[in-house]
Amino acid sequence: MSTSFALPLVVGVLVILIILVAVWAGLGYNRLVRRSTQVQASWAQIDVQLRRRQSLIPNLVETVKGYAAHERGTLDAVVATRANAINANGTARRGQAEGDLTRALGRLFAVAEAYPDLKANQNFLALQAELGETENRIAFARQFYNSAVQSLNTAVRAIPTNIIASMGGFHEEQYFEAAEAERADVQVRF
Amino acid sequence: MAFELTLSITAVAGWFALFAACLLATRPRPVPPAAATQDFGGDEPPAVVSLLAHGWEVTDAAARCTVLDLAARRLFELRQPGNVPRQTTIHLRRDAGRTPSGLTRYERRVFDRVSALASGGVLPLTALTFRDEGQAKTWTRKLRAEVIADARQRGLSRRRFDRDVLTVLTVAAALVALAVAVAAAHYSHRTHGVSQVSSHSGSDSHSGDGSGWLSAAVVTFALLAAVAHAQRGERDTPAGRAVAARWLGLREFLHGDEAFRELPPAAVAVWDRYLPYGCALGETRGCDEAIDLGMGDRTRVWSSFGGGWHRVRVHYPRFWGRYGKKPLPVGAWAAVGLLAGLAVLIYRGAARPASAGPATAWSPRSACSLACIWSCAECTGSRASART
Repeated sequence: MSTSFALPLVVGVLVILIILVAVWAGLGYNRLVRRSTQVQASWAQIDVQLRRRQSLIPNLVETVKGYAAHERGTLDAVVATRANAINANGTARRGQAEGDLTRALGRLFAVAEAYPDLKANQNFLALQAELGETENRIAFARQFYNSAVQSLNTAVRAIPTNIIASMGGFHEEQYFEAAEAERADVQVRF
Repeated sequence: MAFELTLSITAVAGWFALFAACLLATRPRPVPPAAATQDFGGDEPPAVVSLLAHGWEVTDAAARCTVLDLAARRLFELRQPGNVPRQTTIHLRRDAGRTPSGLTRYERRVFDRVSALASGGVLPLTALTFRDEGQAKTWTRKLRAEVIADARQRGLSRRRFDRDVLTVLTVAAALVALAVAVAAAHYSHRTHGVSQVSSHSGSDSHSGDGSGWLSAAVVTFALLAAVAHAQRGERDTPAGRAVAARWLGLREFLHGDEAFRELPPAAVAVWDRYLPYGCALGETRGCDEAIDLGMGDRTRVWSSFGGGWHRVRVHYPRFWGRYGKKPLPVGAWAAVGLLAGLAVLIYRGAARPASAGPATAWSPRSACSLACIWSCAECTGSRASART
């Protein structure tokens, strides 16, 4: 094979290889972008549900206060954990704060069991039902979020997409952990 | 001849152009999805959501998502023993003998299929397939009609051609029939005039009875009216579009979740009604591959003979189209063929010009004999296939 023929061949092969690598890198980058976007979208859904729950709590506290004003410690704990949950930043801290709030709510509803008039109050029953529904939505939102995080983390860690991830600034996300009470599969009866 | 043909073809083509315009005007328009959300779009059953999400067409997804929905509502349980979703089994609840309440007609149809096939309360998911094509078609057709009826009842869907459109098409068909009749009468009149001239000149040619134009008109009208009324499609309603937009918002959200798409049917225990709705919206590839309420593989079927489920390899005879068909329909078709053959051959014998001489090869008697032989062969074949 003459050198005049070999050089263009090598250049051609190199160009094709570069194009293939560029296409592969582009596809991999787009996949990472999609997964990262899905994580953000799923987190937004969790955020919506958590804020919905937080917005229900003042009404709940006011209603309970009308029947069980002397349960001050339990009510204060709910208010304090709600404030912590609102101010918490980051997935792990938010998860921790929301877990604390769930436990505080559990104690509040346990206290409410001792007040038949409160249990019969229509406003309390409506809030109870709505909180129960919101808890369900939070649980599913967490599932979606953790599923999206798993997909992203797998891509970020796996070879060879980890090369694109490191170059593109993608990093692993934290899971939104279930509260201890939920993990232990203890049903809080609202 | 050119005038008559031009008139008839123009009239029929005009009617089909009107028909196409009606199809175009009444087609369901694409629905822009609402913002991506995790929330459900309403309380519509997944089968109805499937209708809305697939452009007002009932697809295979309707049956699949209903199976998943019944599992999500704990009417039965889906268990996957290994890593292969197609090995999933359905386990009926212990109180499955009781008829569950609150089911729509199509949900009951799916539930009845599951409970009827279950042996000892257990059924492989892939055993839901049908073995008889006719049975599968009938079952699917009824399911489709029930889903559409529910959607119409909820005001989410309506018949594609309403009464007004059908009236317009029927009137147009009558006009086309009139045009064809005029063309036929004109042709008959022209040829009749020629034959009269011929007969005056001593020829002995056969002349028609002059009622051909009426037959042409009736046949044309019947065919066009049948085409118009055979349109069974559905179209959107304002309420249906609003509901569809909300559900498509959920689809937008699910579409971004790659892991959700690959979930197996047994994941319904964790994902609850998200999985049936995801299936209805076409976002569950894993479930779509595992659940089949169509024909499946007819050469490897499930059998519960002996109490336990096992797969059986089945060989079907080749080149025997009637195999497995019920004798009654085959006999009926044979009778129809017999009558049609006799009618055609007797008519040909009767319409034979006298100048052509006596009928020899295809006399009514020989036609009758052949038709009888064919008919007997059909019936014998069907009996043999039924015995097999």
